[in-house]
Amino acid sequence: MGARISCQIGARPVRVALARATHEDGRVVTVSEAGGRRLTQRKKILLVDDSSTVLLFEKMVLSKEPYELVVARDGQEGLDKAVAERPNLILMDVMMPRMDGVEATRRIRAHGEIARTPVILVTTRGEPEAVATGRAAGCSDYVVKPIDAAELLSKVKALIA
Amino acid sequence: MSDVHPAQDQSDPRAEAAALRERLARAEARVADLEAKLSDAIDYCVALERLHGASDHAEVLRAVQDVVINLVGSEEVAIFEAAAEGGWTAVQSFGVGAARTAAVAEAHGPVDRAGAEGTAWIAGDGSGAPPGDPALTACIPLVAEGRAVAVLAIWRLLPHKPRLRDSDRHVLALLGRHAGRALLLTRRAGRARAA
Repeated sequence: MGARISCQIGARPVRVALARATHEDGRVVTVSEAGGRRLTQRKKILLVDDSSTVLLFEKMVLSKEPYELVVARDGQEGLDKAVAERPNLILMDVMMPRMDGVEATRRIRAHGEIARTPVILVTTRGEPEAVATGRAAGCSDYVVKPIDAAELLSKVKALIA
Repeated sequence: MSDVHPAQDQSDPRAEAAALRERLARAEARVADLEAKLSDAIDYCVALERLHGASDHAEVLRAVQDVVINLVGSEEVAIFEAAAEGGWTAVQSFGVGAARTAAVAEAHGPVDRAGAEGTAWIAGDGSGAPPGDPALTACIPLVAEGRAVAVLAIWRLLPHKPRLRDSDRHVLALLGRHAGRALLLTRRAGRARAA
């Protein structure tokens, strides 16, 4: 009466090895390998803007991707957090109190430990002169407000692929 | 030997390649359209979140201004509320001085008309009388309980933005419905706290 059914699932034990990897910019991160597949930390993006609207927009666009998001509300805080957090990318507004985005970008480029961090300037000014000023300060790319979500995502991915 | 002429062979690889390219082009256009719609949807969500996340009257005013600057794309904006002695007073502004706000807030001016009629005026729509200020782009009544509690005026758009898009009009309509209510409720809450 009744039946006993058993099954056996074949499984190979998986060794998880921890290793430390050094990025090009000198950051050392811990990565793990499981079953031959490399697991890495999420990319970190620093959002620097004094506008709650822009920060909310950027978070909504980027939250669907595997990014860790950090926020700063002005250029000085952005610079401080860039040093503390070592993001993979910085989205930097231009017009901000305390320190504007162009100056913050210059200081990032002059700071040895974070000098190579990609910076995308987010600006209401798309005129050639404004773009040239941003490039001269060392920005990697720029987006013009109002921000287009697809364009933002495309430029972010291009810089931290 | 096949009696099918090569030109009549239905498996023409060139025709297939052309058909595939056409399908790819349509798919890419569809993707671009969906991405644009997604961006617009994010705008609407952000605008709503900003309005309904504001904790007091002043923050609602700042949120409306911030939405116009960053989502619509204008750095010349003012919000008018009804003055106790009649007429309209600019209570929040960015990029426009007192002279310009006063000029559009005159009796029977664009702000007054939008506030009285509860109807949005947008340049180029062909509705309503000329605004008086040629730089004015829109006057949007912010409505609650069937009346305009404030009027949003937008002057020039950012230089790289030639005109309002359909999605901008949706954002402005959204502000018209939700910002009015947020302003009314936060004003009442502020008065209740002060009493």
